[in-house]
Amino acid sequence: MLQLDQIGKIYARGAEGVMALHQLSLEVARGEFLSIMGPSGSGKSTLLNLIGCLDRPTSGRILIDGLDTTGLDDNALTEVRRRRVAIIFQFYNLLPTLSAVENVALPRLLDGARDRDVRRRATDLLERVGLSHRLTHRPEELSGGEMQRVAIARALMSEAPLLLADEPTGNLDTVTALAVMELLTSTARAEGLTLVLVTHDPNVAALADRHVTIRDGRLVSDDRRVTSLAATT
Amino acid sequence: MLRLLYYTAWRRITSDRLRTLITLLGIALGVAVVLAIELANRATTRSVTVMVEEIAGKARLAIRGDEGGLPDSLLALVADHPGLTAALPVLEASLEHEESGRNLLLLGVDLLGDAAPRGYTVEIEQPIELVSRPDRVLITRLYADEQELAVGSPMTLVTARGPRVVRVGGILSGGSLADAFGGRVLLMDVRAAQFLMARPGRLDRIDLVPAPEWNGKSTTDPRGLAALSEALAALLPEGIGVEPPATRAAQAIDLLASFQVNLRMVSLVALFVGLFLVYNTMSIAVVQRRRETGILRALGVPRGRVTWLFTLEGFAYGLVGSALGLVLGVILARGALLAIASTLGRAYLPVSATEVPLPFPVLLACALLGVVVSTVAAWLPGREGAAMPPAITVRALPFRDIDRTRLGWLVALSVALFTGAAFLSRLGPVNGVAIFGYLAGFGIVFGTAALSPLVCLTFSRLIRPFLGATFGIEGTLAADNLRRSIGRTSLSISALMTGLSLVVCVATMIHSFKHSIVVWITNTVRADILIAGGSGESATTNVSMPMDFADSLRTIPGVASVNSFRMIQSRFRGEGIAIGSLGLVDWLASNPLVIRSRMEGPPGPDWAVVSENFADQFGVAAGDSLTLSTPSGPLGLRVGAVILDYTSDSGTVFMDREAYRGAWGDDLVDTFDLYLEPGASIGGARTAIDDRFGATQRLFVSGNGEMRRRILTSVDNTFAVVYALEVIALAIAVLGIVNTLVASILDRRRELGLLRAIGATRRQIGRLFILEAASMGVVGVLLGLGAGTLLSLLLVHVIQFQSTGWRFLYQFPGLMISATCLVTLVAAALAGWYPARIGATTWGAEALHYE
Repeated sequence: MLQLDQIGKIYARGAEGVMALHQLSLEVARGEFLSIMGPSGSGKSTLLNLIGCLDRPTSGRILIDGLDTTGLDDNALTEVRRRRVAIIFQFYNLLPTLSAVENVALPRLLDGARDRDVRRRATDLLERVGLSHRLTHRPEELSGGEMQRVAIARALMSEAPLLLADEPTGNLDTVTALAVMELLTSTARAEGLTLVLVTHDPNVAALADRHVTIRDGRLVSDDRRVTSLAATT
Repeated sequence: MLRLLYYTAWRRITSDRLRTLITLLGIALGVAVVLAIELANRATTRSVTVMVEEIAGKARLAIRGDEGGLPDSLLALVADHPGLTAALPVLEASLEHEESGRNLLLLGVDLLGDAAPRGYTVEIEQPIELVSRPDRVLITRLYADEQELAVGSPMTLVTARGPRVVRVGGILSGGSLADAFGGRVLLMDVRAAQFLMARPGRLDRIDLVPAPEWNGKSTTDPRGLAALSEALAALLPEGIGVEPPATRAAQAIDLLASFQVNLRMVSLVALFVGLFLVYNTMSIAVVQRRRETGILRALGVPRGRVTWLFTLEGFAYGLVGSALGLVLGVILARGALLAIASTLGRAYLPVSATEVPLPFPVLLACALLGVVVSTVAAWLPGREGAAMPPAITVRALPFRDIDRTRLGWLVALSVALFTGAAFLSRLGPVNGVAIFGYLAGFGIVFGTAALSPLVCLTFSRLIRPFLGATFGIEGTLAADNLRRSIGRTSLSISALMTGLSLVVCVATMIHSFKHSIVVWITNTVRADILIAGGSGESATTNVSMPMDFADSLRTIPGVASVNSFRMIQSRFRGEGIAIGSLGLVDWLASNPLVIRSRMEGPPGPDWAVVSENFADQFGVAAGDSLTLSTPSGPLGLRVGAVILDYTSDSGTVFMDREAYRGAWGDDLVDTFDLYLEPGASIGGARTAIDDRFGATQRLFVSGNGEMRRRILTSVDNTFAVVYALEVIALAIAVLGIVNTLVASILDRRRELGLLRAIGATRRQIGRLFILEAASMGVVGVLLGLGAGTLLSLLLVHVIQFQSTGWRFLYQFPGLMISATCLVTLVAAALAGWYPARIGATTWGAEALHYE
């Protein structure tokens, strides 16, 4: 499903560059749940940005379902983001002027789909994530957990096979975080989605099928599901 | 403080170069326009004053009647007065030098005795020729060099007796007279001038040089001069006065005052649009620096100092913008001066102003105006930003609709301003200036601006379904974004509203004016052919013709009758008016006129037909008596009718030609109106006139329709400067939209990032900004249309009426305004193009991850 081949990323900072990722290679199978951990500044978010086609690698290749995204132009990358990848952010990133159902419908509306059809599906998704009573509410009227559920529903809207989540519980309390993760993982499994999740929280990471650790832009460990991750953090 | 300013403001200013530039440009243009108009107005006023002074020389008094002139026999009454050292006769006329096409100011003077008292010197080869040859003229060194003329050179002058060849008899080389009217002054013997201008026995004035002392008083003392003036006036007939030359200048300047005030008001509007721009920019800066402000407050910087930081920034904008504006204004002033002088010269009196003086107080005042406006415009949002609690400012603010309480206050303010405007519009003028009318206009503009947040909010909600259905999610988001940062958005919209409302109100006023003129001409001037002397360029440069020329015109085949029209400037109850003389009975019979009121009975030679603005100004009605001061003494007339008339903005009295001749002794005619027999060809008559008189006369012959078109074109030319100012005001307003949208990009990086992250293309982002700009444009146009319509009613029915006394027939130019609104809308949408480009490419993935 996902193949990273000697990925490198250097950010220009004045006269010198900062190497965020150093020749990182990784493969993720279809339907797999991968968690990525590492200290702050290790390159986790950079890696997610590259996979999500939000940024371009300085070196190496990224293949999503066999498609090499590294040489694509902007329009093609936009198409990838629209159809092949869906992202869930730590800070929800909902549009403040749109209601919950409109935020969920957004990816398909950008695609030019008919409003009525899209709204129907968005409503179904919100029901699935337990927010049928919040359809017309704007983000400012929702709790953190509710906003993240809306974000999850939006990610499902595009029917993209690859789901990326960047610290999806980072802004939530423990109880809400567990509920959100339960929803995310069960939905991903039910839909057969490939889930790549970045987190600081070892309890969240422990839910994954596979766990990798990044430090100083390098992959330092790659483990199948383990019960304790204390030694790797 | 300055260091804080550097750290907080300077870096932002230098990194946001485009927005900084737009803001500076807004202030600079506003200041430049105000300065240019002020300098041009002062230059034209000064040129009138200087011209009068330069011509007067040492003469500190003058005997004057009205434009009809005075008999030269009066010279004998004063020439030997012990209080005078010289009494200098003057006959004045404007005529064209045919070879150069330039208009010259002819002064018919006593060439033997004029030079010393006026203080000029003459280079003459044959002094005796100057008095023995009536065709000899003196020209200035300036003009001689310009036209490469020398003593003996021939010049063809277009006079009342047709083109006449004269010769240069000498060159004026010294004294202020040599520089008067830009050097375009021509001197000739007064008798010769009287003959050439068909004004035998007439003078325009007698300039008087007082003796050093009279009756024991020094005439350099104002009281001594006043006493001498009184003594001389006692010798003269009623209707003829003695006054200093400055009075003449003041009267001439009065004519220009209304026009100049209008220009000043329009230029101030341009400055206010610039004010909106600064307020907008500083509001944006407050929002963008929310976090920095919070950090400063958290570190212990007092609220007042934070306010000062923003205020100082606005002050800096004002300083730099005003400096740029001064440079730009001086450059614009020259163009403005040429346009204004040309307009005034066509409409009121010849103005020769080519130099733009730069009085330091005016430059300082305009610069201060720009600085003060910018500083105040920055202080208001700065105060608001400093008042926010630090805890809030360090977090990103969630989306909030505008505070309802504040919206309520703005609506209340709007109601108060409109109410105030309605009240002010009912108050009368002050010294002939519709100052309360202008204040009412500002009330309407600011009242509409205060209403703009509510309109924006309402429009956003109403338009959302439509935009969403038509343009998809981009349309929905564009409608939503109208409601975000509504203070900032509504400011840009208010600026656009102000610019457009100015266009609407002035266009409606001009259209109403033109419509009224068409109605007036259609009913008042029915002659088939009109003949004026000279080039026909304007009333002030035409040459009057002798009345007996009518006899020759009557012999033209096809001509049924000829009416002669003469117009002079005179005074009535101390105010300037126009007096028109013509065959009154024939005129009333041949033209339907638009009669407001009429006396019973047939018209007679003692009738006066007065214009509506004359009747309003002096409180006369049909049936009343009025007495005119004439060179022959008071003349009593009866007001036979009050009519719609736009001949003069100071009011017009039409009287019988013969009665006029008898009272003024003036045989000159300005226009001959020819009425053709039924079936006669206008073209045939024109050809016959040209064949018979073309060689010996310079006549401007036009058909009725042609004359109408020329007048309407002249109206457009008169307002050319105003049109230019409007375009500038609109351009500044459109810049405001660019400013607002570019600023919003930085506020919306996260949103833009999200949209791109979930699959929005650059084109979709671009379309979003274009739609936003267009939406802002729609609201601005709607508000501008509303405010402009109200302003047009105010301008036509109150301001213009109070300034000129003219009642225009209000007519709204629907087609033209629609086109203007469309162009404005397109311009507003295009204003979104640049922000669209930036927005589509300026986003960072990191903005999605971190707060």
